[in-house]
Amino acid sequence: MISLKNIERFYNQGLQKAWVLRDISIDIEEGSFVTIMGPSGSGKTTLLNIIGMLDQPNNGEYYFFDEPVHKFRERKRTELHKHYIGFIFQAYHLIDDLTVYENIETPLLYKNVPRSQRRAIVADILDRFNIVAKKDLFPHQLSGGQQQLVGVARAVVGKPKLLLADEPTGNLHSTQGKIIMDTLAELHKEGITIIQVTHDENNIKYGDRVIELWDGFIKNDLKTAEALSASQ
Amino acid sequence: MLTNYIKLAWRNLIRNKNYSIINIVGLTIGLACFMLIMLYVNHEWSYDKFHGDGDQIYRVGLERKYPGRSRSYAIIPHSYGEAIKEEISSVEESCRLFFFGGNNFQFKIEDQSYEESSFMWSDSTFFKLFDITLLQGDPSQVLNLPNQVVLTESAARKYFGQSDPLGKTILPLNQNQPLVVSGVCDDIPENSHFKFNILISSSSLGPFLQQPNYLSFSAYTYIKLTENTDPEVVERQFPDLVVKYASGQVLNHFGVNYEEYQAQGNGYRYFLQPLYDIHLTSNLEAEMRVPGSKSRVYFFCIIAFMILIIACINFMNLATARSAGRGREVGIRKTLGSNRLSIGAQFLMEAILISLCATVLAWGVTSTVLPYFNTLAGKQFILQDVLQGRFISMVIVVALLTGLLAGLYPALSLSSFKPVEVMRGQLIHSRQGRSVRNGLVIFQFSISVFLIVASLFVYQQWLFTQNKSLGFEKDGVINLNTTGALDRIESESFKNELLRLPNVIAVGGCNSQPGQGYFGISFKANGANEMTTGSGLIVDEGYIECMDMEMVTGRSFSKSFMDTLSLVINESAAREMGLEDPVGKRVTSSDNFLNTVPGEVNNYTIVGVVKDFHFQSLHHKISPLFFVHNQRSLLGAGIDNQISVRISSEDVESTLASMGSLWRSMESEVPFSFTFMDQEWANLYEKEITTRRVSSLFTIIAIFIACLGLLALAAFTAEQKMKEIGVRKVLGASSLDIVTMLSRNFLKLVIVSILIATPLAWYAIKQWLTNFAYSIPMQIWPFIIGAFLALFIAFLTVSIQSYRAARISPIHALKDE
Repeated sequence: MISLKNIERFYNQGLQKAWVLRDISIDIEEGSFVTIMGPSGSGKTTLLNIIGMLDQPNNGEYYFFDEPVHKFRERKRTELHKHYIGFIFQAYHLIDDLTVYENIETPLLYKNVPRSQRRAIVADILDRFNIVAKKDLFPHQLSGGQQQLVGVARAVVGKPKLLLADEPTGNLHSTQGKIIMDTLAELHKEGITIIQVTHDENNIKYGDRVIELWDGFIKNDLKTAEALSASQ
Repeated sequence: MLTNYIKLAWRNLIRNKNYSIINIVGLTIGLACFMLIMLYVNHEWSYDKFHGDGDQIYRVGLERKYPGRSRSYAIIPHSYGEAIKEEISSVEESCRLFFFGGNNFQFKIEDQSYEESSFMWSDSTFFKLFDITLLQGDPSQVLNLPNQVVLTESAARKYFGQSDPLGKTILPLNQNQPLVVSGVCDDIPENSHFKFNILISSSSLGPFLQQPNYLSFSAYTYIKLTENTDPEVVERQFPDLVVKYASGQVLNHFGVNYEEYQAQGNGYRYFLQPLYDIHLTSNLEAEMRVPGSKSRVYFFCIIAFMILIIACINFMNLATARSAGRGREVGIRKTLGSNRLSIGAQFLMEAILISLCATVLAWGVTSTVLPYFNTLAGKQFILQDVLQGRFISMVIVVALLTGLLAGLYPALSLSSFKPVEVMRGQLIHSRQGRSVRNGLVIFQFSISVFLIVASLFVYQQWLFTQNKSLGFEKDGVINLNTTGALDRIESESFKNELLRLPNVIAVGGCNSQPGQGYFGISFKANGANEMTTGSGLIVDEGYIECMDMEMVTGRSFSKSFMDTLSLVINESAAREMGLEDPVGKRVTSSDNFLNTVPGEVNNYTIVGVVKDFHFQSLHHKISPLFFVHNQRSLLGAGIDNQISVRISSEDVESTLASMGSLWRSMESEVPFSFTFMDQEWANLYEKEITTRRVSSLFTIIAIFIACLGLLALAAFTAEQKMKEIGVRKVLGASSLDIVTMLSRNFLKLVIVSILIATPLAWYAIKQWLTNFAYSIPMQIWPFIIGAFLALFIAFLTVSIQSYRAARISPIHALKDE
């Protein structure tokens, strides 16, 4: 599904290059649940953004379903991104002025889904995430866990093939975090591919593969079980 | 503490350069406009204020009543000046001025010929009444005798150079009596409702003044009341005066006694106009100079304030919009023990500092653009006007008020933040702040839309006045100004010679041109009870044809007839006299100069009716007009001293050249001088042209400042919504979606503005158009254009900002703190 070849990402700092990612090559199968780990500044989020087509590598090749994303123009990338990828953020990033319902509806608006279909899809999702009662509330009226639940709902409402989660439980306490992770696990079971960035060891076990970054390089790329035993 | 405030305010200005620049630029332009308009308005208000006792001086105006209508004149019968002074004890002094527009005064000094366009006749009391300083000569002697003149200082220098003009003589052409210079006075200030370079003693006007006249109007009559006299008390005594003096003449001329005459609906109502108010409020028939207009002064004042308010609103909006950023500062200050007052003072100081900066800059701008403004507004301001103490103090007051106005709301709103809330990053105010900002943006754009629509109408009306068929053809007519130098026989042969020139189509003589003002004249149809007063024009046989006027019935004057006692009238005159079939009807006049033998009334016969044409600007309805044949008019009103030539549009230069050489072959002393009639006609609309120019310029400026504010606000909104934009882009929004999202709210505000401004503009324009006797109808399209223009400009402004915001990569926007 995803094939990264020799991806490099750097920023120009005066005359020097500040490297963020170096020589990253990964293949990710459809249906897998990958965890990206690493200390702060190791390039996790940048990698996630490149995979999510929000950021572009300076060098290297990126194939998404065998399509050469690195050769695409922005418009084409946006199209791909819009139809295949959902995003979950650590800080939820719900739109303050929109209700829960409207927040979830937004991706469908940009996919030009007709109104009646939108209503059905959103109703479905609300029902599924058990937040029907909250649909007319604004984000600031919800707890953090609830907000992130809405964030997940919004990420999957467009039925993406790939779900990218950047520290989805980073701002939550453990019970709330568990609910979110359980939800992700359930989505994974349904066949969606998930890539998560996390610090939290507890979250690793939900996935089947762990990629560990160190200063922009891949340090380890292991099955979850191996990774867990290695760290112990 | 104060220096601390100023220091902090200054740092804030420097730190937020972009906002400061937008604020200062907006305020500078706003204040500069304000200063310029105030210069103009000040000047308009200052008219005649230089007369020290001006509050005691009044001009006597006349409302002449006819059955069912009336007309008001600035001139009254000449014998009233004396009568009023004698009869009413609280009248200290009176003075009459005589001024006949359109004529040039031609004279010789030694062997040199001159021509002067600005001259009047006056009673000897002139220098007692008016504060014009007599530099040479004895105030009680200068105008006492016939044939005395007073020159203004610059006229004296022009005509006599360095030599002492006192006692020197001026010889008018076509007159034997020389005039003697008896005094020299200060130049008449520009802000005076009368103006002259030469002032001639009224007794020089000859016998016409010696005959008592209480019926026909000729004199601008001024009276000075004793201190603390209520003018209304004086006005109340006028009716008795009219009965006493005029009723005899009424009986003589109309054959009815005055009571009966009044019962028919006729009458004379005299009223007083304060000297100080004449320029701005009086717009009577026969004003000496084009009067100002109070409504225009108000209109300009309103524009000036509007622009200033728009600029202030920018400041308020930006200050409160940024309050989120400064909330933290307020919170910290409050926890450190500063109270609301000192925080408010801090923000206020910032506003005042900005407004003072802007004032200094605006001063520079005003001084720089002064020459351009002069051309625009038709005034002659100089740098000193901007440096006057009064003006400076006014500007400082305005600057402080501007700072207060702009700073007060932000100061109040920001200083009310509760420290705990703002430190936690919650801004309860933001929603309320936003609605205030929206309201202010709506206000700004309402003004802009209003101004756009109004300017379009002003322009349309101007075009209309330029293009409306006047009833005569003004294009292609050359007016020769100096032909009064010729005597009658010379004049006839000159006209004949002109006609022989190639490219000369027609030639006509008259005493005054359309737009220059005609003298008043009245006729009574035989058998009718009332006189019809209208305008009089002395013409020769060629004039009506030369001007391409259309004869409705009958004939124009002709050399094949004996036309000395013939009249040609216009349609309005026929209508007002109640003549269904005017040709051949006989009429009489009470005017002295039409009855050559005193006491004997001549019968005139109407020979033709000319189609109504506009001999005044389109502010005035067409009124009755009587053409008198040039051989009849020997006295008083002058002769047909102007010659008009209609030429073909081919080879205008050489036609003018051959006319010039023809002139020099006949008259070597007076230079050849001419004007194009269409240009002269355009001068009648000076006021409209000024209004049009000023309103369109300030409209553009107002919109510019409003857009400047919108630009900053859009930038701010984009900045504030950075996160949301990022999220939406991650959710699949395209740049276009983002631009639409950001622009939509602003465009909604503009649409609301359009809805508010349209009915107001409709009403105001309707009012304005009533100033014109002939005006364009109300139309929809300027409103549509105005609306679209406002939307378009606003969209352009906002979308530039929005597009920039939409291009920013979402990963930057979403980076967590």
